[in-house]
Amino acid sequence: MKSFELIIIGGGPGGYTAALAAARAGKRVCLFEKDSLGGTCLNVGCIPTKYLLDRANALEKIRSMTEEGVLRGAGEYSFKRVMRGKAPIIEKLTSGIASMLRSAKAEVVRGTASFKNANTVVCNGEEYSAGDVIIATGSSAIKLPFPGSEYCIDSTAALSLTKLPKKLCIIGGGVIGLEFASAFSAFGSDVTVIEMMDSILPREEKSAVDLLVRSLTAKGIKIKCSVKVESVEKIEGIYTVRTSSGNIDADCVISAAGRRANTEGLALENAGITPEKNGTVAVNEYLETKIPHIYAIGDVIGGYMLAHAAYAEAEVAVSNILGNKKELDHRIMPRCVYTIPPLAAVGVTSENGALGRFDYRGNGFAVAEGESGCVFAVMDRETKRTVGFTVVGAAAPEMIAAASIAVERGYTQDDWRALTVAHPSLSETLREAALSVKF
Amino acid sequence: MVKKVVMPAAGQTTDIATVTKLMVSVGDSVKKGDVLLEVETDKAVLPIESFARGFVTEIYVNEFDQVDAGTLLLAIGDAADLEAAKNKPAEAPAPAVEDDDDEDDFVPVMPKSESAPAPAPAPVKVSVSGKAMPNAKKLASELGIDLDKIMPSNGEFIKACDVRAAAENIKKPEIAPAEDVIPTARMRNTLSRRWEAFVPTFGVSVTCSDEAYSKLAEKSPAVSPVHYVMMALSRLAQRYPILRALNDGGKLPLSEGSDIGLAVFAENGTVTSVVESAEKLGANAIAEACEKNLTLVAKGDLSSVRPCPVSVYDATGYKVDSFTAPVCAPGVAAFGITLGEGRVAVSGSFDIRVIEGNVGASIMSDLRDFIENPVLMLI
Ligand SMILES: Cc1cc2nc3c(=O)[nH]c(=O)nc-3n(C[C@H](O)[C@H](O)[C@H](O)COP(=O)(O)OP(=O)(O)OC[C@H]3O[C@@H](n4cnc5c(N)ncnc54)[C@H](O)[C@@H]3O)c2cc1C
Repeated sequence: MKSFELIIIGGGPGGYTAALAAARAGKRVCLFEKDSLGGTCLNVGCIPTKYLLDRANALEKIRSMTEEGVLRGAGEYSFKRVMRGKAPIIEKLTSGIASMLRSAKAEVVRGTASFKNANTVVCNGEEYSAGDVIIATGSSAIKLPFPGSEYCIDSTAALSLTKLPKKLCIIGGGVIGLEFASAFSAFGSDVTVIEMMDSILPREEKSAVDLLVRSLTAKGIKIKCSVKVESVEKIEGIYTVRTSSGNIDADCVISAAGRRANTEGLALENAGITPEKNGTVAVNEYLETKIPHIYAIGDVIGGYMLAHAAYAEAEVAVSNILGNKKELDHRIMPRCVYTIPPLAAVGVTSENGALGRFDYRGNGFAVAEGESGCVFAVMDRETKRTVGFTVVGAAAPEMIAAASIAVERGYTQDDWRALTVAHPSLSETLREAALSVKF
Repeated sequence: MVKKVVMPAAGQTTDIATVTKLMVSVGDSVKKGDVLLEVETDKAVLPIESFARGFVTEIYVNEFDQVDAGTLLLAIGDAADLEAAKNKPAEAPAPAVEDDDDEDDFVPVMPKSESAPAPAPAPVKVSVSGKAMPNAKKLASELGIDLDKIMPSNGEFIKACDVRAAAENIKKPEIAPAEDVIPTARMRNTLSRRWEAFVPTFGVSVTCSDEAYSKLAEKSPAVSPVHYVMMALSRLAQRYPILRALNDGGKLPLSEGSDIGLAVFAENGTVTSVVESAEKLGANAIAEACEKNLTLVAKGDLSSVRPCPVSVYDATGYKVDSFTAPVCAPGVAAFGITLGEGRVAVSGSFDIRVIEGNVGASIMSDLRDFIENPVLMLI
């Protein structure tokens, strides 16, 4: 039996951040990873999709410059080569994490870990024990229970396609589905997105979502809301997605209908923990499970299934393990959708405050770049402080960082007025939107 | 062996030409010298002739597409190639993850309608059939000059410039120079040819109360009377299948959805931009689709422009009593819309060859019922 101070199961954003923080604070840490360091995010999530979307954005830019007549002929591109370009990037980032863990002196064990008891895990037949344990096993795509769901591929398989689908049907109009829709549409696929609810991104600022839908539709992406998939059939190599409102033919169907916490094979019961009905591990505000020295972070606890949520949770859990009591505070949680154009939001929407908006058309930088979009600022009617922001348009995920600071600090209009923003920049629109709020 | 026909780099043309007419379809048998399609440059209409005999196995361009030297136009092969092209699987199913072949799959960045759809192979030189370049032959026939009487300047084959030179030499009756002409753009010329096919029509008009429309417009200000009439027509077309048919020389290919065209007055001529399956769309969605098409057309994107059974002409902005809309083949009906005090007037024009007078009258009468009483559209 090897003994450590902290055992971490899962080497994704949650797990490796926790391992680095604890090891750097002097804890003897052992991290278990059954697959590849970096987890979903680095290997089959955030990073590869952002890589694809970057290439897709470039193609769109080339198209618009060709239409403008600046480029003469747009040339040719290879989908295969785009796909091949992913691997070296992932390799670079994952090996970066491995070397950071090495230099922080955290031990990394490759293999599937499962609980023997509340202080001991087994991996590759060997036992490891520690006073504290963090579960950071992440999530996997769920398979919807309709007939023919076996014909659908998940986001991970979609990232390894070697042929560009001519007609692509995406089940699920969430963040992942929409990002794939944007990328593949830019690559040249005819894309249809099916969403069961009556709107995509139902919790985000409605006008911003409308604007996003309009932009995506103008790019040729068909978004069908309030539509339920009944079955998928395969006839002569063509898939037919039967829905509550007609059939959609496609040569590739991606299911992006949500993700489920990974607890299978963990033998949580040996530690005295029962997963919730939806598969997640329940935690309190200190991220402790029912068993006080066992913590859980990241996708496996549900909530915001985002890499930066996992980072934040890792910091909180490690802080508590180190004895500095800290509560989880997810009020300032930026939410980004990297579609073309992207949408990013932080804090609340105008349902909970006074709204100000500023269109990209009034911004010199946006006009120069030929970008359209809009910024929505929300301020509390009583305190008159900034409580939310939504940006739809180019660079939204970058701009939301500044917006997050304003929400965190509760900027008033006077604060915004006192702020000097570089000109020309898209970020000027944040200030303009905030100053246009009418109470 | 499949032979690819590419756009020749004809010396006297500018870089870009427009496909104005496709003369063949996939499966057609062609022989050397047959004209496959016509393209139009700034200066001339160029017939593109086949340099091989066989069957057209694939066509890569559409009418109105812009092509330049090297653009792949179509492919000609033997019967076996044609079979193979027909049986080509619609598309490989979602491929399993393995990278089966290492070959790169370069495709043009621009969408199909705007550039060559497949990697252009090494350009095949357009062969000279007979002893004259195709454009020279065309020019000669247009000018009524006997090719046999022309000496090729390069000693090998006759070029268009040789024909022009010969024409200069032939004394022609003096033609009074036109005093002033309106320059016509290439697109307008192309469109003019579209209108050459004469469609014999008859007309029926109705004047409807605009009460129902006004109520709707209060709630949905984006919906114009024209959108509203388009909505009514789309529902009507579900009742009258002929309004979903094209008059393709006696054949009447029918589409399931009611595609309604809206005449758009583009810079260089009127085109009809189509709202597909409009019967599935509400008034707002129709308004939105029209708006989108309009923006595309304004940007020069003609992807929504195509032949359509029914077209609508918006004359609501003018103080006229009625507007008799022209029917553009292969369409079968067109509707002109005007407004007056408390009324919407619609004039229908119908292709007499496929729509009987009584049917036209019945369509218009039902149309008025729909416009005045939109509940009927739901039935
Ligand atoms: C297509 C896609 C795009 C995304 N894009 C974004 C984005 O742009 N921005 C964003 O913030 N988020 C994005 N996400 C979400 C993000 O990837 C996750 O929120 C994040 O990876 C969660 O981190 P985690 O550490 O909780 O879990 P994971 O990253 O899933 O890592 C869990 C790790 O645990 C390992 N593991 C599981 N069980 C065991 C076991 N028993 N023993 C040993 N190892 C085990 C797994 O192999 C895995 O490596 C995306 C997700 C997907 C699928």
